[in-house]
Amino acid sequence: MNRFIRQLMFLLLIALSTGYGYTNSIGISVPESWNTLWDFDRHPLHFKTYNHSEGMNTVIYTGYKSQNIQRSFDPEAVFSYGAMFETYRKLNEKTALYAAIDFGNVWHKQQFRSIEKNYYATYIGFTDTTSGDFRYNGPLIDFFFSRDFGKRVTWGLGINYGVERGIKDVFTRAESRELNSDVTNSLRIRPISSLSVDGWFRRYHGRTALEAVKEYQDAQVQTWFGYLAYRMENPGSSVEMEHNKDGYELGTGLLLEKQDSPFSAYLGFSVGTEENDARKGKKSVASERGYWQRNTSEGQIWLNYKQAKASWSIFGTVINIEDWGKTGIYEALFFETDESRYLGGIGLEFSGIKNTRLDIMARAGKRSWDYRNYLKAQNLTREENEWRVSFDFDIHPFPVVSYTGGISAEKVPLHFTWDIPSLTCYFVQAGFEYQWGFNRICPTLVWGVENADGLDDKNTIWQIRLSVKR
Amino acid sequence: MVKHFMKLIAFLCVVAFLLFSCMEVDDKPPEYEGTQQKNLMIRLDTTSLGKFFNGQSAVLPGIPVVLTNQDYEGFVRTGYTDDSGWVCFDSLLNGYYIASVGVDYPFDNALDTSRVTGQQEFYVHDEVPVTDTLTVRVSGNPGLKINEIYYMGPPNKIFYFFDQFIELYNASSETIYLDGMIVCRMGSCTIGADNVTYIFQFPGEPVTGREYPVEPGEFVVLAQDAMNHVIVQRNDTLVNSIDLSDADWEFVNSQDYADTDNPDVPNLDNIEEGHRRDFMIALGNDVVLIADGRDINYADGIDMETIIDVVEYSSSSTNVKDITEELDAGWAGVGAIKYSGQSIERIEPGFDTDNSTIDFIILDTPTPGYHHE
Repeated sequence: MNRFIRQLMFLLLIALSTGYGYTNSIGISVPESWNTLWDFDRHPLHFKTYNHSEGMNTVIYTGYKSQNIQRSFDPEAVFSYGAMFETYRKLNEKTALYAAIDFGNVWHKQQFRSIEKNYYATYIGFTDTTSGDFRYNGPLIDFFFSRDFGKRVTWGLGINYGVERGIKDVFTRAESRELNSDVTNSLRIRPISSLSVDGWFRRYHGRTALEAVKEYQDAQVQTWFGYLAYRMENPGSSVEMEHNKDGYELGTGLLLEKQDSPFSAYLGFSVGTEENDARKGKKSVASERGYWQRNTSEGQIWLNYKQAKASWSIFGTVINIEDWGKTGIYEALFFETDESRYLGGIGLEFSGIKNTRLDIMARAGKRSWDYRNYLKAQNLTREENEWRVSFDFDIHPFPVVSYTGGISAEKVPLHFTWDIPSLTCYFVQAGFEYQWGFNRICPTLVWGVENADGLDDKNTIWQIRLSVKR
Repeated sequence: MVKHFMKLIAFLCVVAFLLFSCMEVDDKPPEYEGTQQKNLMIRLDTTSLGKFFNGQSAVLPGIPVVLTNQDYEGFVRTGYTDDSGWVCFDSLLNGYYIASVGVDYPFDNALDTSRVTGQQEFYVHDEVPVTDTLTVRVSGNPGLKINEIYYMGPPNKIFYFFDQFIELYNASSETIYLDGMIVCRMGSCTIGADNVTYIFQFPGEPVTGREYPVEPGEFVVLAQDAMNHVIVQRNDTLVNSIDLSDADWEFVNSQDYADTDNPDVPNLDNIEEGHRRDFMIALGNDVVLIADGRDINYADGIDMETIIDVVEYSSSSTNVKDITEELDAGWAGVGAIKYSGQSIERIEPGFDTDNSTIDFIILDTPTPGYHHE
């Protein structure tokens, strides 16, 4: 049964892992993403809180990050809070499902001019002349379904759907409305008992409507092309804009896992294409401002060696991303970006000490960007090493109590839009789990700090989570 | 078993291929931004200057030509004409451009050193010719001009815009008399200037009056209300307004008993029967016209022969024009912001090509009675 559940979860994870880097399954001390409640690329919250056993999990959480190190259009601080409910059920021997709903609130403090939630995530962004607090909230729904057809075929379906609304506190309130949907279909075939062949197809779509409104004077919107060039839009008491996103991904993988053997291996490859366009104006009279496309390819390999008291994992991943964009009217190429990431690492899960489990992970790699803006005839290149080490523990001194904790250190290469090359981040996590009747109550506290060489400022991060598992 | 498995794999491959092949993804365009070229021939219009050039065309070598991209901010290039009068720009972005010339040129004839000005609008992309001609003229069209219009109102939250003014400028070399002239706000016109919204008139006899002279190079400020608007409110919401208590003229509607009247400033009065508003012009788009006053029968519009100058302005370039290109071929103020304190003014005093898109620029602060630097 455990093996079945493990395989099922593995399938679901593969269906989710869509080509944006290795997500450590050995135990991450801290989430990788803090600025966004959710986005297309990954859902770290759900990855982390995925429950490998049947049951329900209710979580309330709050977090704060001071962004003293920031770019021009980043908020000065991010405050978030929310609640999530998730359940994992095995309906019968062949069918299992997972469902979750997460209602989160994110508060971007003193967001300078940008009316985008993340201005730097798109090559065609909109700004106005106001600075203020943007508050975002909305529900995210996750649904995963898996069913075995005989002994050799498993079908998986993942659906992610989210709606979010953001309002700026500056009179008379700029607004953003975002709607995203993401569907992944996956199939696992076992031609022989020790080999599984995975294939999956993902399709996602997103639409963001933005509206800048008159504050002190008419709303003056600027459309930025590739971060460096901009045009002034006609001012008005309200100016409307729109982003549309369409993405497709196709992946395949081979899992080698022999019964009674401690060794297992996985080799995966995926390709994807994402189209984005930006328009200014109302839907009926919108004028194209530009289009950009992202093409990704990723390969990854895992090797696991599992014994009773110790498990080893070695992994490696290679990601290549090519972006290009064209202007809306003349359809000429205005930027190109080549991005690559090479990452390798090793992990150890050790349970040789009585009532104790230890996770140690280390990874290192290199990340590079080569960005060429043809409007401004500028070239930005960056090549930085990255690394991360983490240590997590789980101690059960008494039957009803366990303590969890972890520390990590990480060097994060920064996107080429930053003036500084990288951040060094340190995180500490501590919590405990208490068995109370049929429930397990788990409060967790996370603290972190981000530094940059040569800068006195630092970013600090707090997060508090309380989950009740049943 | 293996055979069945291979069939299944083949089937999945076909499905995957079909799924991907049915997706229409845009291809990467072959053309790069920043690779366009434009060659401009700078030609001096000698139509009325034949005697200075013996009927020959004139070439102006070594003069600066400023090329401004209207689609993106900050893309300004300056080139200089060669001995043949050509100026070449390369590595240009696709887009809509204005090329302008404004230089004091030392002619080797009786014109001596004279101002040469001209502008040309054009698109740059693959489907338009690389070469074009920019016609420049010695000085602008002379006469009395609407030199500046301040209509946006100061930054405020109480919708205050009563500090509007119109500035006139004598761009001729002779004294011009304002006696009996009319200032009109126009509506949407079908033929000529056939839709008058407001009509205010200077005192005196049109054309022949000699009471109110404007010397060459002199500015005249016509205020909606000639008062200090900075202190008009008790709070500080109008700190960015202007002091018009020293305006040269004030619009006063004698049929509007609530209209303020500065006794120290002479008045232009409303002559439209039943009209009870001050001379207020719109903050978004409008048309201002001045005429010599021979035709004040506003019901059928203003005779074209009597019109001295017309300016149409609009914040939005997509607006429908209210007047024909015969009166004004473009708009001033595209991109201006309501309640921003912005003003529109000619790029040079009296510069007039009858295309306000070219003639005017937006100023961040108004300049009543003088020209911007």
